[in-house]
Amino acid sequence: MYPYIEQIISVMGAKETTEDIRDTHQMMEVIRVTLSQQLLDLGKNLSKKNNVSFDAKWNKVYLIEISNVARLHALYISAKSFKEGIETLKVNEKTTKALGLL
Amino acid sequence: MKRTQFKSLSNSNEERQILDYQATQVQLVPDLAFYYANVFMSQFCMSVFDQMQEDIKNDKYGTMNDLHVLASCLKAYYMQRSIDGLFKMRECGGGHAYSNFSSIGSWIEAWSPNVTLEGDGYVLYQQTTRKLLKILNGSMKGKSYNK
Repeated sequence: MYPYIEQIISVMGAKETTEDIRDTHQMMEVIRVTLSQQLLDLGKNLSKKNNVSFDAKWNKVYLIEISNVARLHALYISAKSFKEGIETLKVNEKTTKALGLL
Repeated sequence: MKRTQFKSLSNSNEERQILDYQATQVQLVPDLAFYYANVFMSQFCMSVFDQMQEDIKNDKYGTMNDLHVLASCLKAYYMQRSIDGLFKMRECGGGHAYSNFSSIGSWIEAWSPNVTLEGDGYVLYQQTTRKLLKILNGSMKGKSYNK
């Protein structure tokens, strides 16, 4: 249910790289690393000690970041489920091939 | 009914279907894939639901929270993504799609209350992120999450 959670720590301190996205696996990795990074950053920002209360941080200051993390989580698990499901789906050959390329 | 545009096929006097144009495909095919993803995710949610029912029989309630977390983000995300896809589909089809014959108008009419009634979805997203942060904190302390 949280397929990337065990690998999150490996993303800490990772440097930005530039690569061409050539296959679905690479695309999935991009989403996974982005999600992990955003979750780590959010955790760091929320636990920062300053004058802003946790309630204000949670409901105002980082609300957009919070929803972005959840949206990416939904996107990642959907993509993972799609990738696994499409291989077993029985539709006509051309559709399976086209969907597999997405 | 199909929308055609421009006689760009060689040796033919017929106009091409707009679905044959890459400009249209690039807009519609990701949404087609999304609808398949939707089907797979709903099957996955049902399997978690069945697991939860089994766990409850054995007085285990952890899966209930996992299902809630999963459904929260999916509900907000899928509601918005679906309506965006329907609008895009209607725009791509031009006048034909606006016509009642395409049925797209009635799909939008049927679907849009779901999005409107949910509001902006922030509360649902917050519930998912709260759990993710909790798991992250656990991972930082060396606790493994095997679900």
